[in-house]
Amino acid sequence: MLDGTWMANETNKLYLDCIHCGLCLSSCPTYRVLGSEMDSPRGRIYLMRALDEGRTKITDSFIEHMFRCLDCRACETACPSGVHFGQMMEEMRGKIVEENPAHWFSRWMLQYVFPYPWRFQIASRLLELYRVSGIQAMIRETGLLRFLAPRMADAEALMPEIGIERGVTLDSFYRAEGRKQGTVAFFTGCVMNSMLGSINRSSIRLLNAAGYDVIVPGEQICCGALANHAGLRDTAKEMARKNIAAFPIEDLDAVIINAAGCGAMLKEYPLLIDGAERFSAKVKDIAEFLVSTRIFARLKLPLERRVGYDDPCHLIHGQRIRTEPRTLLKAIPGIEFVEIEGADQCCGSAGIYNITQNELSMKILDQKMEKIEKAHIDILATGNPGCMFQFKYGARKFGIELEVAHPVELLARSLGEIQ
Amino acid sequence: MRTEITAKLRRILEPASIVEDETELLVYECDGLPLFKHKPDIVVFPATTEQVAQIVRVANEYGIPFLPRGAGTGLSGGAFAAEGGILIELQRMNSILTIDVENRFAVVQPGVVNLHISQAAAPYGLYYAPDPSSQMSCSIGGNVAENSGGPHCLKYGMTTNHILAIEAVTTEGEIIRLGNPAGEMIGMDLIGVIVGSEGTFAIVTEITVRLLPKPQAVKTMLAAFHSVEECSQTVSDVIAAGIVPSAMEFVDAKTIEAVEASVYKAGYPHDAVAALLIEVDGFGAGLDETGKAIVEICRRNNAYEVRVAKDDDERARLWLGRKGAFGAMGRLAPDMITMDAVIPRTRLPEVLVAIDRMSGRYGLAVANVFHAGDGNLHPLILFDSRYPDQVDKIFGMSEEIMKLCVAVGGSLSGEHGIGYEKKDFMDLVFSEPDLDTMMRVKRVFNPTGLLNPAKIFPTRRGCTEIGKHGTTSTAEIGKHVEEILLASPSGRGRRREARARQGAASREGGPGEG
Repeated sequence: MLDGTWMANETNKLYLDCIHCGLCLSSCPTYRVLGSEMDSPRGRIYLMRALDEGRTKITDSFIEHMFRCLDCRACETACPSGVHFGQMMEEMRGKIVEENPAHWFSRWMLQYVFPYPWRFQIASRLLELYRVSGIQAMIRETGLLRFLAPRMADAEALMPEIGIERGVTLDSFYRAEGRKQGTVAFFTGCVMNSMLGSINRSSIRLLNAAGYDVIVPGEQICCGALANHAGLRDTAKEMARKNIAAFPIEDLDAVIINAAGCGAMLKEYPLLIDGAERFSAKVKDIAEFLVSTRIFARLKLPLERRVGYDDPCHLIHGQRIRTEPRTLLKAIPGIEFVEIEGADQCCGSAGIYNITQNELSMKILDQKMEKIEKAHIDILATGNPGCMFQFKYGARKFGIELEVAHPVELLARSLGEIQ
Repeated sequence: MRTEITAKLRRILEPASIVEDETELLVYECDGLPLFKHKPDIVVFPATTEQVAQIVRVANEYGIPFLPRGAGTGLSGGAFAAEGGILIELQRMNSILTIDVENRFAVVQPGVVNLHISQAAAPYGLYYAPDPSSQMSCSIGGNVAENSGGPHCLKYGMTTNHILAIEAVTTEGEIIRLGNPAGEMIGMDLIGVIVGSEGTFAIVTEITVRLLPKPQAVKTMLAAFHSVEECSQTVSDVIAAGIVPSAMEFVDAKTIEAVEASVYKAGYPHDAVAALLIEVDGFGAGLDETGKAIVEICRRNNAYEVRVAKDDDERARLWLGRKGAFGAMGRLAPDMITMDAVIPRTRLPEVLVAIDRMSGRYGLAVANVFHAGDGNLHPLILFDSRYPDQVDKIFGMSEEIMKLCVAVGGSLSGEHGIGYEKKDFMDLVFSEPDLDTMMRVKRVFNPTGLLNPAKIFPTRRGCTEIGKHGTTSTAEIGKHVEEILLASPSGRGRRREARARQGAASREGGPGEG
């Protein structure tokens, strides 16, 4: 009974840390919406343990509940016993995918598109083409898609309205302004660089302004987070190896990342492969890094708007970064910073969750948007591309006039003249 | 029959509100006490009181057991389907319907999380007083069923003191309303009968709770001691001084170890054998003096550190640590059973010593974190349920603790209820006629016995032996306790012994030795 198959030895039986107290329950977005134990962290762990002890099998419903998890890890922030839920869930999904291949399309996308920058660029541009070509408008107007497949229709609506902006060029170098403080490398992230390029350009401006030379290693690829969350462990491992090889880690003060999901993944490479510790120890979220630099003295131009901040799960729960982005935003002259109720709760985006689990994702988003509406803000700042898309969609759905921005965009707007 | 029942339920509920899949049922086989497991046959998620009533009628029609469940954080097995049947999960009835600021009450559905009531009332300067440690997850419906307590019940009373009105579905499937928001009770106090009936008298579907104005001022102190006796004496001295603290919580070294390693790290003193978390609240005037008096009492009892929280942040941290304590035990062992008993405050030191000795004898580590002010003990026994011998020991040890507490003039439960866990200990405190009388009250509300069966009342009535693991009779236990107490070593030796044991029962060693 005790010869676990997927958690091979005692130290890997992470579920034993769970004492079944239930303090995680109300932190879980799916439990808050569904109220069902099997869609709570405690219930999912219970099922994982039952599987390991041979009391259940990987059934359809088992798979459903494992993939219904947003992997937001809010339960880790609530857990007094320090259960490594995210790690357990990723290992569990890996096991499921191994035995039950995921839907061919998402599998294909994750395995053959996300790992390759140029393929992702092509896919992104096709998406852009779809948007600008008018096909999108036609489909939305006629309601044809909604008639054919409501799930697909909502997924389609999530597609970013943003035009594709050039990000930073791979294999490039950006010199520090003023007295040099050190050298950092920049991890571009695939979505950030191909869809939200201005965020990357803002990040590099800020790093330069803070006195850092920035190198952008050319061999870097997707961090592997989406693949890992979907259970494609081998793909994720391969990506981790390639990325680690791409960075001259000994010559760097830090590896900077501005997407929360990628940051959490890069910091957790040691859970995925051996020998990743030195690399991961130098990974810093951009807010985490900037907050201890001279950047504050450079924030000169006022931004007289009401700005709210929403915590990306993989920043607050995955990396325990909560105060840094707020400290930076509050330092912008003229800004009226507003604390949003439930800012630490997931928006339902969760990588590709809003596409794979659309109905639930939308319910979670609705709860979120009600609170954002109440806050009466002009700008919502958040540091993860998936969340940004989700909020843009939410604002449209709720008919709220709302600018969604990455904190670095607001910070960069405030940068005064070069000293 | 099963398909017939399902078909009837389908007429009441949408398909997504009926769970029959074996994998999904698995997670409903236990509540917050996984020691006892039994799968329900069906789990249903009603959204309205009317649906609950209809479900109850279906259960009656087929003569199958049924029971309500909230968040499933209960610690006495009150919400597990001991005999299968229909589990009525009320978590989707989770709306706060009204907050009446002027009349200071809130009307809520049973699935509302305890803490969420206080959060919703906070903008109006109000809150809901009973605060079980699981308040960030436990549901108010479960609180009503169990008559839950919490640290601040020392001053403010239990759940039952804060329920003004309820709507409930009877075991026959009728909807009744009891009480009124004004809190004026006309006729018999039937709310008082239903609150604390552990989900065996009726299914409560709407609750009107009293809201209190937040105290003008609060003072929270943390005192660290080198011995359990000094810590316990402080508790007695504070009460004897005529002070009414809003809470007085005892935390031992093992608990401090677990909490300080967790996200609820509160800054508890690492080297303390025992610590007290004391809070006083009320009007600003005079509170400083009360605070000083308490600090003085602590010092007189050799507290080597007394800290007064300097702001709300520190206060909140001290409390989060206390409230996360049960859950933090996963750091020390894979499983834990939270005992719940009440003893006279003055007997605290000797009982803790006796439990410590039992811990050594059974080879199971025990952590103590409890409501010292009202003598509500919570020994947390750590074990590993994968080893059957340890599970056996748990039964033996928990029985011995219960007998000990009763023998020193205490009682079986402070706030977690009797449920399934302690039903066989009822004979320790109640005579045959007592139990018969209670049974007759139960029959009035639950004549068929279909609502939450196998709870509260002993399975083997009339037997002097308690439970299948018990070997000693109630009569012998007094002598037994005396032996334990007489054999207590001195405080100094005890401390050494306790430290040595902590080392031995760490995670690597496993709690199986001793």
